[in-house]
Amino acid sequence: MKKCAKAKRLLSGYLDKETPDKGADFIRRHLSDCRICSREYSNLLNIKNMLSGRERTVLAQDHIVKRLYTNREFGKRYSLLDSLGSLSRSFMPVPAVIAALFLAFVISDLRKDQGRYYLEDYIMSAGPVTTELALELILTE
Amino acid sequence: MKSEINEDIFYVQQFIGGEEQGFKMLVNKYQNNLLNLAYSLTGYCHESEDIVQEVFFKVYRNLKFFKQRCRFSTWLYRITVNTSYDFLRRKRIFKSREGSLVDEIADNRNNPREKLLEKQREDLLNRALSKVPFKYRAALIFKDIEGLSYVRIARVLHCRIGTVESRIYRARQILKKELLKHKEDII
Repeated sequence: MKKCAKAKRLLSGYLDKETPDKGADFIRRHLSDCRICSREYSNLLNIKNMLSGRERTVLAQDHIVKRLYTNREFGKRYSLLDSLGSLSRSFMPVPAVIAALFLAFVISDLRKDQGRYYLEDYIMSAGPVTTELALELILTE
Repeated sequence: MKSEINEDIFYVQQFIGGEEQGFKMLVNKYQNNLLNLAYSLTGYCHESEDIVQEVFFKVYRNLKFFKQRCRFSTWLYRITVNTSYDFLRRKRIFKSREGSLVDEIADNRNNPREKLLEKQREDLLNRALSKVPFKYRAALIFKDIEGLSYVRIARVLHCRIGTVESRIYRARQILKKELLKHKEDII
């Protein structure tokens, strides 16, 4: 039984001819003695043969080349965007949104300043300056 | 083998130097290998061509970053495995589908009985393969269909040789279990 367990462990490698000589000798001897392991081996061999005997498709020369060169996107060798991962790409709009918000804030602040009437402007306009008006203009600054 | 590696390096250098011909040569050299690999990994026929196209698309864009720490074909296989995995994840179906490559293969045969049997066998194999988890399936396909050594499979799949061995073993066990359910249809 112990031998069977060892053989089972080595069988796959033996099938692929990847077992060291010592292990291969052991398997060969065991397979000639044990019917269960021998059946297991023939089952695995059948599977291997089925897979390796599968028909392979052969494409015409330049088949993929033609497909590639008719693609519009093809031809661009490398862009900075390609170096980014999918996560970085999904976060790409974040700095743009921050920049847009900052710009909107600055513009709105400038507009506020444009509407303001400062004390200096009033004095320069040579109008009558009362204490009440001066205080009001200072406090609203 | 060595001349084959040198040939790949020559084409890669040619492409990096600005000659498209180098890239075209690489595509023609590997298109069939990658198509069969993508088909075995996904079980989808027509989509396999799209996968191969996507692989070469990625290669075209990133070839100048290929460091040549491994063989070009190893790098190509790795991209194919990743692209196939992404494709299956997008599809959310890890099963093979009807209308497979078998239809095209079988059409070349004249004998209708032979055609039908071949189609049945291939469908069963595809269905059984789809039951094998992707990691195990990839290792098994590289060994049994592409005929790579354990060392190369380990390089392609970025894992240890022991891991490759156990993945292949497990894949075979699952495949055997699935195929034995339909023993009389296959053998």
